[in-house]
Amino acid sequence: MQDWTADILDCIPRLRRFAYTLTGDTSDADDLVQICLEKALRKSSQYTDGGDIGIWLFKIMRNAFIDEKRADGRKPNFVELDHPTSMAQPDAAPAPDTMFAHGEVMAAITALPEDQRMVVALILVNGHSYKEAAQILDVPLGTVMSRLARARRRVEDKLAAERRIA
Amino acid sequence: MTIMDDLIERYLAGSLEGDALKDFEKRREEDPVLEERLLRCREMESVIRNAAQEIDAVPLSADLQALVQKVERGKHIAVTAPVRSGGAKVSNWLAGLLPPPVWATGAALAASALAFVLFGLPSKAPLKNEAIVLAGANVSALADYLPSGAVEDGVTFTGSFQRDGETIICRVFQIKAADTPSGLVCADGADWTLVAFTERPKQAYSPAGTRSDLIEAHLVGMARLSPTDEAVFLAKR
Repeated sequence: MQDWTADILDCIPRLRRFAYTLTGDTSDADDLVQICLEKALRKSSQYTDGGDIGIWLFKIMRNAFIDEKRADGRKPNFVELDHPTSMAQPDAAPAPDTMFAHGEVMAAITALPEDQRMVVALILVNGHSYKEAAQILDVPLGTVMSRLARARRRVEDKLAAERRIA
Repeated sequence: MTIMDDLIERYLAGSLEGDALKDFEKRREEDPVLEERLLRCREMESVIRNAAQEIDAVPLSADLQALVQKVERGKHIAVTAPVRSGGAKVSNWLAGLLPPPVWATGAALAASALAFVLFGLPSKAPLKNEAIVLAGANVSALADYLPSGAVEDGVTFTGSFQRDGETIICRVFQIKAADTPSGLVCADGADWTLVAFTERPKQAYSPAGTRSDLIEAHLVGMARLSPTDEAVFLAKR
């Protein structure tokens, strides 16, 4: 097995986590990983030796996810509000006094707009740096930061709301 | 999103510098609400990471599994695929995610033997490779205090599990330094026992993954401890 192929295979656990965070479903996640791998293998000549194969693969997966959503007739619900909108102080929302079930958390994540879900998946779940996430998503660093800030707030609000209902 | 959210994100991203960073640190010391907000951000990161890592314990779909096997056998390698220099790498996690091959028919016996080798013999036992050495030397010690998600000495735990009404605790671990091979240690009392950490003949190492039959069999009926419960357990060790 060539090292290049081994590198691809070694990325699969992280690709699965990325796909799972995007889709919220393990079966859909594996379908997405499969599509990503098949595209990567077909496009292997486009990979530049010495480049970060992880970034290359995650770009392919991101594009595959968007393509799949389009094919499903559901446009990605990107939200572009990349500038702070108020001068309010951070509020003192109640900290989680008990931990949330994983299902609750995944539901809150999959309720995020895709652009925010992607930064959550890359940075918080997979541990990519903000810079790497910006490369993968092909957006400026500031956009990554603002999307992640918004995503954090939304997930917290969603979980807090669930807790209040419960 | 507030200005403060934006500032906090820049701080967490490490992009605050100079006076902006000093101002933020000063404000952090003086403002308990800001400090609380930062703490909550970090807590949420851990909660989100743990939730998403659940897929690590889910077997690959049949189609993906078939594709991975083809890739591993080299049938999908395009002739134009670049060849990189450097040492050979083994996709270690595969052994745990793929169906048990012929070599694994005696996996239970092998695991028991390995557990004996790793935990029951003096350190001069002939440990065969980096992954095994790491497991033998560190995992049992780290299992006593390292919370899931944290990394130390190249080892991380992906979860702690327990059955209702039982005292035994099991912890799934991964060895980051060895390309995430995985295993399981369990304790019912003071000492940890290595339950699953297998290797494949003729490979440098290829331990069981988080969904290997051995690990899964031991986790049946067990529930993942919440970070709070895990912290309570570790504090008692």
